[in-house]
Amino acid sequence: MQTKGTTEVARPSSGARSGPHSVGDWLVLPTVGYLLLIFVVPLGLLVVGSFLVDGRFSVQNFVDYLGDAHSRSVVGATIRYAATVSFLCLALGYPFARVMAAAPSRAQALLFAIVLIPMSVSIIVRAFGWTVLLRREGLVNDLFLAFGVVDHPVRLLFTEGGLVLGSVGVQLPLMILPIYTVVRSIPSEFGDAGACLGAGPLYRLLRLDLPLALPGMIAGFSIVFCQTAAAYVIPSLLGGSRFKTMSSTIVDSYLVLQAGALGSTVSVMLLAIISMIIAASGALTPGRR
Amino acid sequence: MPEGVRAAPKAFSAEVENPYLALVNLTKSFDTNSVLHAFSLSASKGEFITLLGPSGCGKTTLLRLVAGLLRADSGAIRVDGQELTNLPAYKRNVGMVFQNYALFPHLTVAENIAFGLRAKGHTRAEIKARVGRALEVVKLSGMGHRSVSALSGGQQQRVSLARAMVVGPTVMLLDEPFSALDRNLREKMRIELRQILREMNATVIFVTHDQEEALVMSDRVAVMNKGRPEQIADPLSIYSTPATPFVLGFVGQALRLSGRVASSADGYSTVTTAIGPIRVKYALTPGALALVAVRPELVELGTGDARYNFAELEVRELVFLGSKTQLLFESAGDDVLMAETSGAPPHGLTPGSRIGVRWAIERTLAYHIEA
Repeated sequence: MQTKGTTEVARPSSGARSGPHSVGDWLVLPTVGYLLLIFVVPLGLLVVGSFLVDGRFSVQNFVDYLGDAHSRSVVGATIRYAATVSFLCLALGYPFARVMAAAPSRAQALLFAIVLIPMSVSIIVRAFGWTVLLRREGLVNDLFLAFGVVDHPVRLLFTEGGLVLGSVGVQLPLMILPIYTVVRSIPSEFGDAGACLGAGPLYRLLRLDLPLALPGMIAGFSIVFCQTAAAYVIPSLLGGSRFKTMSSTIVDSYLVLQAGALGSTVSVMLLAIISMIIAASGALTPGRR
Repeated sequence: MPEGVRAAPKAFSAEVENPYLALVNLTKSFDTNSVLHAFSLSASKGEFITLLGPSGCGKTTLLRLVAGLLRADSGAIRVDGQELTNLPAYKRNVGMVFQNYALFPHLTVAENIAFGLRAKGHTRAEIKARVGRALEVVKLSGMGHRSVSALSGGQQQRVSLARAMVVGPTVMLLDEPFSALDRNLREKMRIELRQILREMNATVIFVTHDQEEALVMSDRVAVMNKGRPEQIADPLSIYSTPATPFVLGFVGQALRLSGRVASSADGYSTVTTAIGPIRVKYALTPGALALVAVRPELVELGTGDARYNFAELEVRELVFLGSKTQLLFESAGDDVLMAETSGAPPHGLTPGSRIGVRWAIERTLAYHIEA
């Protein structure tokens, strides 16, 4: 139940704590220790490795990598792929989340199941599923033919278009859920108030619904972008060996080329791209004014 | 539904001459649940009408029908001669202030107020001027740049009023706008809001379940029950001559006794009740069940007289309320026996005391009721 005309997120009050240094605070230690050991230390080694050339600090690894035209095209392809998938997920996810939030509770549960059940299936299985759908004689081609998009079956598997299509299918739930969470908390009176002020459906969508859903859209976008940019399984199964991403370079450099320096350099660059997206999404999210 | 005796000839005035706002036979059901039954009401320009009733009586539904947020199953809505019945909300130019104000959290105070003007494509300069004026009217000048969540409840309410008024709506609808405010602020705001609306000569439909708000603010009050109007009249008539037992019970307090009509002659009747015969100035049907009532402030301590109904009652409780004291007397069944005296409790009176009370026969209300 809304108590005020603004959406306020309840925050736990600090008064509920038993003191600045209660025993409970120490319970975080095992978790912190665990994370330090398995996350921070290896990451630190990775970063150090990328800046070490012959035992000395250097940015030569990055200069070499970005100096190579093929490597640059891999970085560009990764960003383009992640951005395309994210924007498509946004375009499909917002309407779905809105319908879901407005649906009666029974329909809402059904839509929830449609979104969540695929997420419980292993990503490898989902990727293989898409390889079946994307085949020349697969469902996607059948649909394209039925709707007259194409007049003969086209090659989708191991093309960037097919990869994007499959990735959108796999990542869509991660876009829908954060948007749904935000849209659901928008009181219906906002739309009513807009209508009573003379705003038509399109104006309300652009000036009311979308801005109010923005935090969810930004969260969904950054999650999908990061997931897609760092994905390895899906690009290698749906894009094949021809479509190179930064992730596949990382895997190749460690497992095939035994070039640890290259692997850590690309890893750090991928990390930097993802960090920038997260930072940007944080900066763009409208704060509590 | 007990059939009330018409207490006064003018009490049921749903119609006005040359109505500015006309609601004609509005009917609305949700699934099989009928919420409004052929509801009609009309208002003159500048009139402040309150829909008063318990929750579920259909008052909010009626408001949403007028706003266009719901479609009526049948009936018509006309404002200033224009048929609104089938127009969507955004084409109606009917303003609404919501219970929780519904201020847009992503916009500042000024942007909230400008929302409707922008949607209607006014020029930047005109929007600025009109928003400035609106802020002045609601006494929030200089606060336009603030975030709406930084405002107090009373300020939020004024912003929501300004936002609705600034587009120049034909009718203003207010849906329990005070329910989120604390008591002191509520009393201050209702005077303030009434003044602002009167200065703008706004035609207002105000929804509340608070009888005090209804009596304080309205030109006319429509007391609603189960989707039907029980009485539509000015606040004084509603209070002093309630048209039905429901209105009597919903608005204000009353001494009330049920009994059987013993006799009726020359426009007067006698009803036999638990405290003896009560005379009323109504022609009731002898032998029928009746409810007799009187407002507690009309009940005085004293002795019998031909012009008065008189009874000797045992005091059960004395309730001191500051400016007045309520006397509750022993009674049986659904009967309520009470009186009010101004100021402190009468000297020497304690629970258990027996005391004579009386009230004028002319001021006694009576209704036919069913068993």
